Amino acid sequence: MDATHAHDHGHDHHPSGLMRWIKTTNHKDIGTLYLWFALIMFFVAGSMAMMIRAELFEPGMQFMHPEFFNQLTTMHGLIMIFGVIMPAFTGFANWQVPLMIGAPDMAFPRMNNWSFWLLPVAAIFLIGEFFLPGGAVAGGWTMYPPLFIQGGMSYDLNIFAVHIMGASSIMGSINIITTILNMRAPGMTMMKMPMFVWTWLITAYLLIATMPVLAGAVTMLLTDRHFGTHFFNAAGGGDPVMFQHIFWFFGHPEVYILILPAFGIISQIIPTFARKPLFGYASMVYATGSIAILSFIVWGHHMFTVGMPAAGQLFFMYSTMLIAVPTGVKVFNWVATMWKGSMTFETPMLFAVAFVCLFTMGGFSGLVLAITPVDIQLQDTYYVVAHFHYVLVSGALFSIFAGAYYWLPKWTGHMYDEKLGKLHFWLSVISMNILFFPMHFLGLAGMPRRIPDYALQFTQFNQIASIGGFIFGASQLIFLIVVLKAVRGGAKATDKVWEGAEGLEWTLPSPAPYHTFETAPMVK
Amino acid sequence: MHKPSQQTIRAHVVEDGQRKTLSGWRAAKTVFWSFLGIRRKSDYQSDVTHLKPVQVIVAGLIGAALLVGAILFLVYLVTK
Repeated sequence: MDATHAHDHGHDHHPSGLMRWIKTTNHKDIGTLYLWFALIMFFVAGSMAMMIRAELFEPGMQFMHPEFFNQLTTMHGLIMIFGVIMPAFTGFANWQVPLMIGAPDMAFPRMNNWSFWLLPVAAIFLIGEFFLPGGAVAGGWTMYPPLFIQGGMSYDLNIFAVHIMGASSIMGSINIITTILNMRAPGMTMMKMPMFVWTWLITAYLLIATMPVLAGAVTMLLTDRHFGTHFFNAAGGGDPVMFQHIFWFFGHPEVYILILPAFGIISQIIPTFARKPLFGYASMVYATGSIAILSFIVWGHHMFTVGMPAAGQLFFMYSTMLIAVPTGVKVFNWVATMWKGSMTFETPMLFAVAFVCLFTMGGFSGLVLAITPVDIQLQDTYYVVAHFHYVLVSGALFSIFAGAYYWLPKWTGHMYDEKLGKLHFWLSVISMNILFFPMHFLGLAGMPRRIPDYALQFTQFNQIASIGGFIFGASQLIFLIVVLKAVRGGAKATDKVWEGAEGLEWTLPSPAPYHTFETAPMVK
Repeated sequence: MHKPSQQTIRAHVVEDGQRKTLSGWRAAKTVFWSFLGIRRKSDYQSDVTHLKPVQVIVAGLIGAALLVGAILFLVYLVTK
């Protein structure tokens, strides 16, 4: 790939001060806002996780009432999903998609601003719930009735927050799809698009398809609560299980919304540090599309135990297992890209390699859970907690770290501190396994999830997990330091930054100027 | 102004019909390979040049429906 006119950015004037950030329509500013928002919320939801692990260090109640513990688990999940992983990926999309396809900005810059600024409002609602009578929502991030019909006013606020975040996601997706389909530089055909752009295109379609479903589900909760309907109220002839079907019809594609952009980031980083083109680019695109389609026909595997005919259980078991095929293709391609490559292990690559290994483990425990009779044993145990944390922490979160280290020099113009980066990596990867691996054993031994107290025989594995959790939590402060250091100064980053990097963004200076590609580059 | 003869028009119609059939089959093949997640590079490149996104999306939806049907049939065989 080659670009001409890449350095067409004569003027770099932009507003300054607070109003720059409030009124900005610049994709880089908005990307930065998304990323900082995600980082702040990461520490908010992370501190909730620290409280959870502190309480679970010993059996019996130590620091809090059980109600507050339930509020912590619920809000930890909601904020990590809607306030950390999703905004972080949208931040990456805002920064990188226009740079990677040679567009001057996103297609709808004002809507882009609105998409972001809805999020702090939703975050204030979510965190504000803790200060309302009765505290925050405590029915689990899945918002199941009857608990979500019976709760206090924080439940209404939560429903409102979910609506707002859904609207933000839909607008963000419209923006990303329009930008990718209409604003690619001349010569940047679909088949030349970087994998990150492809994965986000497909993710955006998933978001547009599923967010209205979630909005419908929580609206029905709201009308059940206040307007006399009985969609999910068994006493009025409704069916609480119907909520679960609707929720998981959103919820399973949501899992892929949380991981497909991660696949994209990893597919950018591994070729750079293996100094080889991505193996099987076409198959990667196909596998992503395939995963997206399959994600709509597997939702029932979240509900094997709520009552389902054997035929339904078999259907969802088979369809879930099929997802292993395209996911396996992806893992194979990443390994094949590294095969006989001239590999070096800078921090982004370390996180990417850890992603491939550990996400695969999360995928395998997912396959275990896909088997209906096994799932009936393991449903709502710590095995499930271990599974989705392997997918979301060593999967989604590690990819975010990998991407942040990879593009930080392009964003800030300074190289990050490699020593601190590596320290962050090693502490994170070791402590993450100390934290989550014992949870498999806890689950297999029968410890239920979402409980503040537990039987004595679970003590040791819980203590190991808590120690891992505290180390993992503390390690993330290193990441904050690395980012702040890179923002404030450091060794000047070159334009290309990484020797093996390919793509339009590396034809720009570091930091990327405020306005880029005002004249579209030609892609050969 | 020159008007095309009836024969020419018919030839064009036939040609268009053939192209549509071919594209339909090509879209079906594309979707089939996407379910497996792999595709030969040359085939992939010819897909990209010959197929419109709408065709792939329609073929994808039909393919997904067929897949659901196939799994349901398998379930029927297992449970009957």
